[in-house]
Order: sequence, then C-alpha cells, then structure tokens
Amino acid sequence: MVVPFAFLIFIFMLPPSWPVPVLYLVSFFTGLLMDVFSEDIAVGLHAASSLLAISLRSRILQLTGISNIRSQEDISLDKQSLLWYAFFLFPLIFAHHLAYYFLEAFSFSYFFYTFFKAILGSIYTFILLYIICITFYRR
Amino acid sequence: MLRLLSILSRFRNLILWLVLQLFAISLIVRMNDHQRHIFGNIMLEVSGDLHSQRYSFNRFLNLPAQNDSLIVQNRRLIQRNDSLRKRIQDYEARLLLTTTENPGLADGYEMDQGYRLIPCRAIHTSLNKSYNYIYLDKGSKDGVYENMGVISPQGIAGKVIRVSKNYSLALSAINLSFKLSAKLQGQDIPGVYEWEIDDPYHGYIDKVRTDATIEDNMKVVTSNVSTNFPEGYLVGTIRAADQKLEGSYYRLRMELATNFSQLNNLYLLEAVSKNELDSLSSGFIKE
Repeated sequence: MVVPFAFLIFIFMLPPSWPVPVLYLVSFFTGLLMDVFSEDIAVGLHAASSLLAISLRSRILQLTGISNIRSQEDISLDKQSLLWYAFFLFPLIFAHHLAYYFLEAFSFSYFFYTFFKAILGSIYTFILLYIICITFYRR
Repeated sequence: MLRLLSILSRFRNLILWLVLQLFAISLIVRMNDHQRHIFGNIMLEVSGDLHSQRYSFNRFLNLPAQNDSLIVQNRRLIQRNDSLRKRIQDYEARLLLTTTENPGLADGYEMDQGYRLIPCRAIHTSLNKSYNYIYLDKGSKDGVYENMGVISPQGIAGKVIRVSKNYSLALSAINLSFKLSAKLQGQDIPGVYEWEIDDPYHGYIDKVRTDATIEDNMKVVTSNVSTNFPEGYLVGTIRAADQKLEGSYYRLRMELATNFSQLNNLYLLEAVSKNELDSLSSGFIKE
C-alpha cells in the first residue's frame, strides 16, 4: 500500500547553489520521470509533489539553522549532527507525502485515510532516506 | 514595457513554480480518470455558480421586455379563458337540456326531437318594465327567424319578434304582449299564459275551465297548440295558496319557472319540421 519514495534523496541533496529555476525544473522532471515509469500511479502526481518539496527545502534549511544557503555547494552533512538530518528530512518528506496522497485522492471525503497513508508513508520513507543519508552522504 | 518585464522578473521563480505546478496538475487531471471526474465536478459547481449569477443579472436587465411580452400573453389568455368558459357553460346547459333531467321539462315529457337548439346569450334584458324584451346575440346569419321560441334551462323565456343580421329581439315572457297557449300538467286542461305588470316572478294562466282540480305545486307546461315551443316545457308552478277561484273560468297565479333576473344561457328553438308542416296546409284556409 505505501511505497518508500527513495528517489527523493536526489531531490533533497541537490546543490543549493544552483539557481532556483534550475532546481525547480530538475525536480519537476525527476518527478515526471518517476510517474511515467510507474504503472499504477497517476501521471503528474510525483511531478507536482516533488516540485512542492524542493520549493520548501530552502525554507526548511533556513529554519534548521544553516545560514546563507545559496553559497554552499552541497548540503554538508558532516558538519551536522544526526539529529539535524531528522529535522531536515522529515518535514520535507512529510510535506511531499501529504501532497502526493491528497492529489491522488483529489477529494477530502476520505480525509483521515489519506492523512494516515501520508503519515505512514512518510515514516517509512524517512527511515529509508535516513539510512541512505547516513550511509552515503558522510565522509 | 521594460518596467513591466522588470517587475515580472522579480517574481520569476514564483512564476516558474506556478507554471510547473499548473502543468503538473493539468497532467494529473487530464490523464487520470478518477481525478478528472472529481475535477470536472468541482469545475461544474464553480462555472454553474458564475453562470447563474450572470444569468440573473441579465434577467434583471431584461425585465421590461419580459414584462411587455407577459402582458400580451396575459391578454390573450384572458380572452381564451373567457371563450372557453362560455363554451363550457354552453355545453353544460345543452347537456342538461337534452337529457331527461332537464329542469325545464315537466315530468313525463321528453325533449321533442323536432326542435333543434341554437345556444345564445341574452346581451340585454330588463325586469322592471311593463314590456320587457330580451336582446339576443344571434341573428339571421346564425339561422334565427321570427317567432322562434326562446327557452332557458329552467323554463320558457320568450319569443323572437325581430331579427337583424347579428342580433335578434325577443319578447320576454314577462311582457304584457306575450301570450302562450299552455295547459295544466296531468289534466291537460288548456289555458292562456299571460303576464301582469309589476311582478317579474309570477304570471297567470287564464281561461282555465272551472272543472279543473287545482293542487299545490301543479305545473303549467306548454301545450302542443303552438309550434314555437315543444310540448311539455315548463312555464311555471301553481301554488294553491295564491289562488282566488271565482267566476266562469279560473285565472291562476303561478310562479314562473325561469328566473328572469338571471338570464344567462338561452336557447332558440328551431322547429326542424316547420317548413314541412307549413307546406302541408298550403292551399287551405288557415283562419
């Protein structure tokens, strides 16, 4: 029922020094690609939600304490604590999943079910992405 | 123009984001049935709302023209209503007349088949004069001729004395010049109906033989002597309390069957076989 969306790590780790339009386009087409290659998922869902996720990323980065985001080449994870990843990843994942499942339902009649799906999915994805982050993005 | 572009370029990120999101959502809605269905419903609600507001505004602007057309239609409908109502009244009265429950027919008589009914209306009548006449709305173009009998559904009403193309004049039964040969029902004793002034609700049957027995509520009907009226049509009712029985013949007072203050549907009696009957006596002295 819920699948972890592992491709989100690529979107979240895009260099923040890139100009914002480029970031938007890249995440949009990544999401579109994911849509096209999944049989049972409606086309356009991933595109819309990953676009939303990346537009929230800089905000989240500001909120979690990193200043002047634009100047950094990469999201340097070695300098941050493990806890920071959680605060960075989870809201983004959660926002993405909310958008995704609510767009899939496209109505508020089964609100609790979609919300529950979003929560479960985001927990699942968060665990997966956290492990990936720790494993692959530290020096 | 440059200034507009510079303002737009301040929001270039946002505009790009909006464009991409709208594109994504349009992809979702167009390519997926579930989402398209729901989206279609939402859009139907929104556009229905907008359309109905615009429609009511337009209707408000259109009110004078609508008003005029409604007035015209109203007038037409009122006229049609009137004519239909008249037709219904005619049919009802005619239906009543041609059945045996016709109140103008005395018991035991049936409507003579030798008479055809022409429905008409009293367009003018009077009640309080010595010589009352009834103006009828049918004339020679409707087949009316002189000496036709005029009946109401309750009883006799008069006799036509003058005919023009569209209208005719009838002597009312409450007219001093109106005389009719009548008889007492049951005993078949003949008499002459005539009217005395000042009482439009009562008349007299004169020259009744004194050996007639007078009972209360006895009916006076038309006899078969005149060809204007079929036999057995009601003229009036005799109340036993009113009578002064004296002299060599009786002059009986009766209550007239027709209510002359409410003359509505009247019928002209066309004697179908009149010409044939008249032709029988041609060549013979009639007086």
